[in-house]
Amino acid sequence: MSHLLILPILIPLGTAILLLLLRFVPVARGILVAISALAIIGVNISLLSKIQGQGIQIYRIGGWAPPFGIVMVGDLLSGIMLVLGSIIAICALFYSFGYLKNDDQHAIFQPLFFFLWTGTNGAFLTGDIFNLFVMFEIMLMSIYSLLTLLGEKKQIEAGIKLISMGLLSSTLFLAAVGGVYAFAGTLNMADLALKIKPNVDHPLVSAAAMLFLGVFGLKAAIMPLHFWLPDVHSSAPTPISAMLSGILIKVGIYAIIRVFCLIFVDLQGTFQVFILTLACITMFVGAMGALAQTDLKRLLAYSSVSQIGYVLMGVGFFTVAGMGAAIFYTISHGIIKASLFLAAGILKKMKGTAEMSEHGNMINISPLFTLFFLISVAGLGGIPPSSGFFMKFQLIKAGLDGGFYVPVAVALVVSLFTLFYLVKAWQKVCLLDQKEAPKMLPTFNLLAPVGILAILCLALGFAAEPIITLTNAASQQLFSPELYIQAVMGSM
Amino acid sequence: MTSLIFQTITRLVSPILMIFSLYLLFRGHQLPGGGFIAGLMTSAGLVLIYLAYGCERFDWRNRSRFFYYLFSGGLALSFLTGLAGLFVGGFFLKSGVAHVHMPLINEEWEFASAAIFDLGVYFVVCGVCVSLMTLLGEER
Amino acid sequence: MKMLLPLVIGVLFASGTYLILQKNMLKLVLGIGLISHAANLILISSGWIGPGQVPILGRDETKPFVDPIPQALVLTAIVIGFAAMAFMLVLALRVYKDLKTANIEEIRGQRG
Repeated sequence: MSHLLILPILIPLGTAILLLLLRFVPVARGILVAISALAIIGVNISLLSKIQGQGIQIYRIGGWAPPFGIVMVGDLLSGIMLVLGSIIAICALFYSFGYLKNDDQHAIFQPLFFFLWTGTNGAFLTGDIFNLFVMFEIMLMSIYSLLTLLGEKKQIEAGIKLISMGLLSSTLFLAAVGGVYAFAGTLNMADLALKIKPNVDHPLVSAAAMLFLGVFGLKAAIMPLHFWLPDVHSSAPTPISAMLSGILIKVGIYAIIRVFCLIFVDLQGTFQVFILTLACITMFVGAMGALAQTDLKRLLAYSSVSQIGYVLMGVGFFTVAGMGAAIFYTISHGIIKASLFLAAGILKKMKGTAEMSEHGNMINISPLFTLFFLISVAGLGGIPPSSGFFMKFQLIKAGLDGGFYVPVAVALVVSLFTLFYLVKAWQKVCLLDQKEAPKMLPTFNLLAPVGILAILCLALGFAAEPIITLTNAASQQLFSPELYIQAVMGSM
Repeated sequence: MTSLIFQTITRLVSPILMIFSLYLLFRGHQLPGGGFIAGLMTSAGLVLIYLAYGCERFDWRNRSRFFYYLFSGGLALSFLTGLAGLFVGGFFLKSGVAHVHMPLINEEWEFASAAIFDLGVYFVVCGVCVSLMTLLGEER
Repeated sequence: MKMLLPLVIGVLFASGTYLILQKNMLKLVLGIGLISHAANLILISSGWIGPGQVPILGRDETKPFVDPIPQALVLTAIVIGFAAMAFMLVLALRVYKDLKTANIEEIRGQRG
């Protein structure tokens, strides 16, 4: 049995522990961070290509056969999310070298960042519902500490919000796991799917599905549960904001996809209208919130809420094309939003605030910054050469093909608002005149990750075809859950 | 909280707590016990000492680095046990058991690799609890 | 006896909710603690609770056992809850030191 599937968890975990031990050796820490970040991205890409070539991979932890032991399962969706996560994480990590002030902060930041990476990778790979809970907690615990790392008052306030939210959601998660376990007597997702399929009319099943939707919706910031996101994403240290908006809210969406395309397959019809309604409201409320913001980071945070609505809409179609579009949207939005947040962080670094009225004239101060920022703005607004056009086009085409006219109409209107508030922000920051000169210019460490992500966004637009083929294959795989069940249970 | 009664009782109770916690640690494989509970019990003993004698007597602050390395070392120990499972047993976290006949007492003892993992957990819990205690109890 | 567990869960949830709604930060921490214990008890009750034996090897194996998995899950959940609670306490202390208040309304007022 190949150990490739467990490496995305082992490498960051081992690195985090080593970084803890090397606390007082900054040079060694820097080298270690660089080596293992590259190793993780290499492993993730080779894992994705292996899944593409050989189908769904499984790994039995401790050698215990499913459904008794914990299994790690890698299908195309997990592979894609792993690669996306590592691209964003590597950029955020590189950015942090320019962003954090002193080595004390690095010494705490780096191990926690790798624990966070362990958690996200684990959440994407696990095939066990309770293990998913554990991975969520690893992720959340690191986020709590990373959020309050710099100790600013705003961050501490957001920290209180995030922790209360996180603990309450884990409580609900535990209750849902308890309900599922009481009903089916198993925690393995594939086995759960088998046990729940004949009894889908049982009230406990729909109750558990609803609880899961609530828990993951809270993590993904879906409309009635989005209240924590703007504060947390805007006040977090910028590399962490990029991670939060780029990949962490996607973990919630990933979990929703996993649960509704594997365990509660027969409830898709029941939940469809509900999910689509939530998606429409989320899109709209997020965009309205973003229109009213004057702080760039807060604007981007509200925009994340709105964009999560788009992804959820793609999921809510429950068609192969819709799911494929949602996965493509996730990739594209993750990259663009991370780039935008990192750009906002540069502004914050330059003048100590991301308030848009304080900034201006960036086109003369740093033309490169203006260019990268413009590419990302065009990307999120859906202007053709960037990947943003294809993400919206795919989604809307899938909606029209499926006959969901109302959500598509809402999506189109909201995308106009999106373009409006983003272009307004770009124009304010880059074109308008501003007398007060900034304290510092953007350094290479800060600009390079923004540039890489912006170029990636363009590249994803020019080479959309192979990526769309890949996401459609992933969605095809999701809609034949018997493949997943066969891969996990068949290997007994 | 430096009352004579409390100090005397602490002097009696905390060694018992620590020895009992070791007992819990090593019976943890098949019977109730294990690293977490043992670590909590040991740190309960340390907290008692801290409360009874205050922070001056044992100079907790300057030993914070020791407790830092205790918990990161414990984490490393547990992780390495898991890795050893990968290299020896073929799976990450695969556990192994050896039955060894002890010569003098003429009994069969069971050694499980899970015990080493538990030892790591014990160090982590001790280190974290004591660091937390000094952090929370520190004056202003 | 059968009603005892649901009753305890209900009381824990109720008092936890009451405490969360208070303005004091410390009460918020305690309330979340109580609620997470209620969730642990829900998880325990999802396995089979009594009348059965303790699930430990080496007992009389002909008699029925209690399901050990929920207990293992609860142990994990308790450990995680312990860590989160510890972090929250440290954060509460930090807030109190920085802002000289434990009132959540006043902490909210700090937004710039």
